[in-house]
Amino acid sequence: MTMNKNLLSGSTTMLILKLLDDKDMYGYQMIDELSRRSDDTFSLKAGTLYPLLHNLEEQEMIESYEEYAEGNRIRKYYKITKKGKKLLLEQRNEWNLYAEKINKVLEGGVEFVTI
Amino acid sequence: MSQYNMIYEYIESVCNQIRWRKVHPIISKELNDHIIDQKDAFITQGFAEDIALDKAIEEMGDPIVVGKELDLTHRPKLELSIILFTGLALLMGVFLRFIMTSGTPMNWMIRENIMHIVIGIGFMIGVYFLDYRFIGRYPKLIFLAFIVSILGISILSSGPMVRYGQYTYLSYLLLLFPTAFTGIIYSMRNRGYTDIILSGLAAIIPVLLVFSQTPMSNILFYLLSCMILLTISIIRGFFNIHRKKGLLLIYIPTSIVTISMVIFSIWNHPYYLNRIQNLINPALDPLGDGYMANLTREVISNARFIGEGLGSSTGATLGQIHTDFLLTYVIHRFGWLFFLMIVTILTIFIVRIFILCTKQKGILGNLISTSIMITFTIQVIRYIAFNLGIQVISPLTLPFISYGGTATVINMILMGVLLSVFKWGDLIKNNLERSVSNKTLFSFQDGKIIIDLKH
Repeated sequence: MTMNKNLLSGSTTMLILKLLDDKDMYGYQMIDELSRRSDDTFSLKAGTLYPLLHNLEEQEMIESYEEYAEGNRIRKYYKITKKGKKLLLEQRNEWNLYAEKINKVLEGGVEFVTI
Repeated sequence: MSQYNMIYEYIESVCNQIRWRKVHPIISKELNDHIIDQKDAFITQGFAEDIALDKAIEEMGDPIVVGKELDLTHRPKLELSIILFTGLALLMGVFLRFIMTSGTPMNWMIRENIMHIVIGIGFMIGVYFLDYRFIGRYPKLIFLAFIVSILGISILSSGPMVRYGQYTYLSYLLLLFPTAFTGIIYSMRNRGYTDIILSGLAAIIPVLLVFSQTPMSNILFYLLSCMILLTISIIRGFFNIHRKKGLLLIYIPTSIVTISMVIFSIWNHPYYLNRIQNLINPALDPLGDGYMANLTREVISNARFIGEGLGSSTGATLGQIHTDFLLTYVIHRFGWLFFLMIVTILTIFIVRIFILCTKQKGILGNLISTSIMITFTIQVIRYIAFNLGIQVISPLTLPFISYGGTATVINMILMGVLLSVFKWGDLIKNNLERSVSNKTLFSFQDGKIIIDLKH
């Protein structure tokens, strides 16, 4: 299943930051990893990813460096910065609150336990 | 259509949307890598090669949209604080000269000053558009060109009549050398111990040429700048060697040479020691070595916090107020507050730009911007100290504020280079392919020493 684009776009930044919070990655690796972790639900286009990455780098949320990857090819790796980690935390909190409230409305005000 | 052409065409359409052409190669490489990764992944999934490529390109998304997005992110950056500061400092200089020369026949000075500024702006803009990576690409050529210009100036102005001209030109030309020297460091990075020594030797060449033609303090500060740059390069690992050993390699010979030179000159001229004592404490010899420093301190002691101070004017006491004693004049004529304002502006500028320097990730940009700020800061400290009556070392100029044509133009050139470095933001990283080089100037093979001059 591929999800509605609008639902994904706002939180793409958060997902990317989360991936980089786990380890440094190059562009293709992020798309691959995201699709694997979401059971193929999120398929991010490269055309969306790179402008986003370059933008995040501009805002000093992430930094890039070149390194030899497997197969002795040089790849551009991205790495999360302190500032990026802070943004990730903020976005996660926002997201949790948002999800909680949406669920609350959908459940008709009945208290429930999130999984 | 061949595979290569399809990828090329996609990337070309993306880049066509990005107005800043200089980022095209960086973006092209990243997108190209991505398409190949995606294609390989499809092939592993069992698709035929040409279909895998088609699908990989399709996965990229609309090239026009992608290009437009990237265009919004990648705009050349203009570090406004540099322009603002330079403008403000130049205006302050013109303003001070206007007050100082009004009612005197010296108002040609304003005309000259404005002419220097116009020439300086031309150079600053020119250097800004000349990509700073030029310094990393042709380091030896640039260094050589500077050395030739030193020789040229020395030869052209060797007659006794024009000695003064040569003196000023060489002093200011020396301000460009630390920045030229960064090119040498950059070309020798990752190449180990022998090249640290070679870099050090390269730094000494200009000293041998200007020796006895420019005040010793200029030479010492040039060497100090080079030492700081080498130290930064070693500490940040640009030479790819053991840090402590690298530092010892430059500091041990430098200390030995310095200490033996000091001992040698004091041995030969015992009065040097006396003289240094007098310079540090001018009250010891108020009519000899300490004369100027004493007068300066006297003028300052008459100053108030706001407004004109007591006693006779700075000009009447010290002479040379336009070039060497502008701040002493400011303290006496307008009060300490005005002086503190100038010092605050200078400090804020220096701190801000040094912070930006440390954020430069590319080795070349980092070294060049740092070298310029070291040169700038040394000029400021020397001038302020001298004007406060601490006259152990002579001043050169207070960038943009004190009077001087060559000084203004040279400092504006340095600001232009700085703008050019910051234009790129974080975009220029160190290219692995180019930086990993095993070739050194000297290598040993089969018992032979091979000297490789091409690198």
